[in-house]
Amino acid sequence: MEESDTLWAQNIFNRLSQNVETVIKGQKRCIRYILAGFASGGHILLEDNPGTGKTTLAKALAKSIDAEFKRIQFTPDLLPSDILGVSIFDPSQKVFKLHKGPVFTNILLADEINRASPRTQSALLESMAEGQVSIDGNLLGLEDLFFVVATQNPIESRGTYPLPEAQMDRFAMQLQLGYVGKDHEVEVLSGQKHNHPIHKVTPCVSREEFSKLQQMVKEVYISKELQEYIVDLVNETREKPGVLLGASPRASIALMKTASALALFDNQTFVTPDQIQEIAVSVIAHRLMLDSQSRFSGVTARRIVEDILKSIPVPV
Amino acid sequence: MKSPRFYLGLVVLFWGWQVQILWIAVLLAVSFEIARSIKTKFEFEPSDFNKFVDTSTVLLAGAVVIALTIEAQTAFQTILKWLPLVFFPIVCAQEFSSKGKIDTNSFFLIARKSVKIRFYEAKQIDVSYIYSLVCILSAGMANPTGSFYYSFVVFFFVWALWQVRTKRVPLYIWALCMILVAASGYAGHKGIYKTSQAVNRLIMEYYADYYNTNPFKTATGLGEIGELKLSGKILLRVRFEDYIPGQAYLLHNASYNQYNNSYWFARSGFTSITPQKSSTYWQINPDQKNTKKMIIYSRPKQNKAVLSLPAGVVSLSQMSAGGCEKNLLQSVRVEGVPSLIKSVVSYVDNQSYDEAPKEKDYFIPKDELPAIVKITKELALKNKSEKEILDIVKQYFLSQYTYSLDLKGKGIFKTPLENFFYKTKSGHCEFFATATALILRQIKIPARYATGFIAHEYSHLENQLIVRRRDAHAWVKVYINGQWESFDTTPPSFLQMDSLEIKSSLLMDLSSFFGFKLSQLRHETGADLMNRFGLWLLLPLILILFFRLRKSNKIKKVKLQTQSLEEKNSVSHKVSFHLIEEILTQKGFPKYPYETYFLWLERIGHHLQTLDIMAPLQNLLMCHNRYRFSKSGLTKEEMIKFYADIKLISKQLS
Repeated sequence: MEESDTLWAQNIFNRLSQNVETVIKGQKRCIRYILAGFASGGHILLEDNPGTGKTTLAKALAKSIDAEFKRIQFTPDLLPSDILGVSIFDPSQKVFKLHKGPVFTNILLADEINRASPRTQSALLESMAEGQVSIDGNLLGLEDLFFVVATQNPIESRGTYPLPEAQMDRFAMQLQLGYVGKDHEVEVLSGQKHNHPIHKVTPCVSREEFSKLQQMVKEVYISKELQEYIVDLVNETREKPGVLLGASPRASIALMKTASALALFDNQTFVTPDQIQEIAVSVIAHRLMLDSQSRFSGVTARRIVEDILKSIPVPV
Repeated sequence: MKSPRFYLGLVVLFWGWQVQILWIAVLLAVSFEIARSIKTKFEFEPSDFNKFVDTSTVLLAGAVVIALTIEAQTAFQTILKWLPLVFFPIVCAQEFSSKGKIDTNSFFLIARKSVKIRFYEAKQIDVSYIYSLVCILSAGMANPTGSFYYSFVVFFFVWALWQVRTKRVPLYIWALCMILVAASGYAGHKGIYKTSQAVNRLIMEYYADYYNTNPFKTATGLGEIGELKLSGKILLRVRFEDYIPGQAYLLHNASYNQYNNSYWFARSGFTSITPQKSSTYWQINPDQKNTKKMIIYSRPKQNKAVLSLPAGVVSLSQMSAGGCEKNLLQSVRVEGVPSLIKSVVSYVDNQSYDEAPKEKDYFIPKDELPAIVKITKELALKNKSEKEILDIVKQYFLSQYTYSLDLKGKGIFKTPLENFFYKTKSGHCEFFATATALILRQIKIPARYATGFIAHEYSHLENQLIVRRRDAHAWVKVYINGQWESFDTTPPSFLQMDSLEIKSSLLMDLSSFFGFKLSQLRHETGADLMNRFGLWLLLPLILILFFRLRKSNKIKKVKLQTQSLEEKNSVSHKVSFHLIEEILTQKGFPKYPYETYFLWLERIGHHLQTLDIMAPLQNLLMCHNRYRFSKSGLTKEEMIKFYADIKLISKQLS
């Protein structure tokens, strides 16, 4: 990989980032992480209070790439076939014809994923992990570029089915948008006075370009020393007191891949410890299961990962 | 932390000077300093260090054996004195090794076998400071109080601390602190010394009151033996050549000839006895034929003791002592003795060497006279033979008085003795003996008061007579037919009563016996073996050492070369950005171990703004990251530039 390649990759990132930022103000960091997840082939879970712009962000991102975009609004009565598709008998030709569901797309927004029943949730999560679905015994592959942005609302618990830890693990990272600052919020107001800026968003990156970016992420070099550092971080979550279930090796892999993507965005052909530390909390925290004692004493998983980052000497 | 040059040498010289073996110290010091000056070093493996540690261990064991057998009294001091020499092989090995440090594993036998031990991690340590501490301690043996010694100790400590002083504190404050610490240390030391002396004196006074065999005490009050008796601790072990089972033997400590105010005084000076024939043979009285033999073991207090001996002692043999004295009342006291005194006593029965009766031996104090006169009248002792008189007196006490350990004092009477005569009619041996002595004196028979022990308890465990503290006893010496004879009027039941009232435990006896055997091994058997076989006893130790060292591998000799400039550069390349970290850490901007360089620079950036070097530092960091984490690293030209930049910025920073 040449320096010109990384410059090109950085350019792609900048274009995408700026395009999304025309809609979502003051979330530069979050956009960077989402794109890193996207470029490294992972899926993302956005969790925050209602109205913080989760859905808008996902839509803006989808619109910025010249790719197919579909959206599912999860409800308690949603069925797996509503996601995957269903075979319907065609009386004219007297055959069953497959009607593909919304999962056959490039970018899928799974809105309020915790509102659907576990059966439906697992249908989606399985397709996320496998990259293929089976309908009526037929195995069907999904698109090569397949990216799921799921959102969920942590506040409301009535009529929700929280995702089990095993399925949380399928998401490369979990992000929290949080409220933006006063200046940004004023900007949002003035921007939406007449019509929503999302309607003006046009694709700025082609599907091929994005596929190439994904390919380049895989070529980013990570030294053995840093791989060991990643494993040390993840291992420590399994030994930390107060943690019932630590992060899996899948977390180590996700951390390595997303850090590689960030390195590429920083115009580097190799990963430095800075990128690992930057993304570690988002990649690891949502996979941890805390025991009840530490949960009641107000310890959060994010806090635990931050502590771990401060307890392990970093290779410099 | 490596000790500075000349430090070890000077410390060792100081030690040699203080303990007066300067020539050995000079050898050690020279070898330490040679090790520092020459470039040739040895490449020791951990197992090689093990051998040096073994050598020192065997030397230490040898020193302990020799010290315990030859110089038993001052064993600890002797060992401490020679410690620097014992540990010399370890330090010497360290100084001559290329590593300059010793693995802690070498010091623990268990750690040498790759066993995992909890809470223990092997470390490389430099033992030179520990060694110098040993030297200073050892030098302290020679002069425990001198301020001269203290000033040298302060000097060495200040020198060692100078190496690790922080540059943040100005020099004069550092010096001030050192002076303050040294001065307060000196004052504290003096204070503690004074206090300990005062406390010692108080304790000595207390004991002097308590312990009636204090060699410098020539008086005993009524009741002192009674107090002494309140313990079952074993004090003496006695073996009679012609022991008759069941017989009780009186062992005499001291005699007293004057009674006043309830106190007995011994008015007689001590004369010193010089050893004859051999250094352990002491002729107490003129030689006699038909002597009997007995052996007695006792323990001294502070290297001094009054011996408990049978009457008619002729000589003491096999007794090592610094000095021996006796008085005309046949008290024998010794000084400078080991912690177990053994004496083989030759004595003759039915003969005493006590001074012939004098005026004092008839004296009765005024206070006691009325009671004594009354009792003698009651007993109608006039015109009786001496033998009859003794029988009557003995019968009188046996029939009318009882033995008791209670100390009753004088009650409503003028003296305790009157109380004993008129009211209580019971008491312990001191009362019986005092009363008897005064009664006999009233009818003009010379009598003295004697204290000591009564040996009557045969221990089947030890196979000899043992004498406990509760067997302390007092009796009368009476002058009959031109001889002093022992005369005991205490009711014989007292022995039984004592053993019932004052308990002794089997456990205490066992531990006492064990201690006795150990002392015997140390002072008697050990010294005997040492005399007979001498240094041959060390042979097994030497053999062990030989076999341990035998499998020695060949040790590689390496020459430490001065690095060429090019090599230095390549070494520094490896250092790279760490060099800047080092400089900034010294400036007071340390990096946390979990921080990346980028975050660190961000954190301390605003402190460095005035220097205007943030941009070049960031550039350098990127280079460093490429060098460290990228696949290809830096090209040769880039490396050289990188290193030059680092040097430039380090200069700017410092």
